[in-house]
Amino acid sequence: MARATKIDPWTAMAERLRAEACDSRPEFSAELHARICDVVRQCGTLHARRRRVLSRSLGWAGVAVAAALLVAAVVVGRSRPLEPSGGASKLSNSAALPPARPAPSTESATWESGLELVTDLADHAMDQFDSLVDAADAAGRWPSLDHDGRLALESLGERLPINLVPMSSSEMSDTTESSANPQGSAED
Amino acid sequence: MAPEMPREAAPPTDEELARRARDGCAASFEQLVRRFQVPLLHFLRRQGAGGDAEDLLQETFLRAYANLHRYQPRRRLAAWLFTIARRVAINHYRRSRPVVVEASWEAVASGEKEPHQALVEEETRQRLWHLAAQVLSADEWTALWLFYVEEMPAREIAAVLGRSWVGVKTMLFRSRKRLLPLFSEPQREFSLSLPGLPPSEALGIEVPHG
Repeated sequence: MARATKIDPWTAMAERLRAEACDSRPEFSAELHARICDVVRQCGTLHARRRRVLSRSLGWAGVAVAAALLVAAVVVGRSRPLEPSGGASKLSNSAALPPARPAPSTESATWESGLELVTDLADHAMDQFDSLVDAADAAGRWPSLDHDGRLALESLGERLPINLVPMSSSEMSDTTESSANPQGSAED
Repeated sequence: MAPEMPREAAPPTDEELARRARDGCAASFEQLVRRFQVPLLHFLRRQGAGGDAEDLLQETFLRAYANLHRYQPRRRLAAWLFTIARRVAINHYRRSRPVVVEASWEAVASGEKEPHQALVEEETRQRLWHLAAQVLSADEWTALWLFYVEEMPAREIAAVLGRSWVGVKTMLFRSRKRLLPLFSEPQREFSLSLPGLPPSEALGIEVPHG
């Protein structure tokens, strides 16, 4: 007596899906295989050529970028604001140049050596610039102080009582240089 | 005492071949092409590429070769190749309308069969997968195919589809649930309604035991 065994519908459906797929499975084609391998081989040669050209281009691009960075470093250094600092120590260092490094040959200039060169040059340029700025600052400090002193006395004179005679700037500078007793002090 | 036969070295795995190909061994890549030609071509044809399936297959292998340096050996190569094939197929669909039914036109061309007969037979043969293509999304269909036909685990299917493993499991469950009622329906309701055609064989899920 035949007994029907019901298969789980999920399993039956899975079996049907696999059977249908197996039924439509294509055969291996040697011709298609050869065609694909030929195309891949040709593209492989093309990729190798492109990689060589790209590496050469990157070398020149590295040199160009290094030059641009150098120019940018100089421009940035020149636009830095003046700052008073211990001029004596900086001045004494102005003559001490960084030890010269052998410049890398142009032919073998790589990306890393280009950046290194730019960094060294930028640092040296900034050191030189700092020492120049400090020297100029030291030379111009006293005249600036004289001018500032006149301004300060003028503003002080504006606050003095009205009966006091206001002093002109030339009278103020004479007073400062001769170190005479100032007239018309606030306590009088 | 008979000399011991030298043990045949086990064939290299797909991942080993990929590693060698990445290091420059052309023969290893050709071996990979040989191994994956049929499953990838099958997949691309079922995706609806039609006559362009071979071109898409070539495109798939070209991209794989160009990107071998990106392949991570810890990942199964089959999943990686199917990922590429799927993307190639998607790009192809953006350019052309997909072909759902692939009739055996060789038999039609030779005069063995009538066109409508070939169409009906093809549809009958691939009925469930055609139904799946109509009711499921592209990702759901792909997940179903990779799971049942390529016997790929859910985690690898997730890598192919760019989804989570849990998401793929859920997708498979829902896809089968939607397909099951269609699988259980009598076949004649879904065949082409052309006059003079013999009724298609009925689907049965009962297995008699003698």
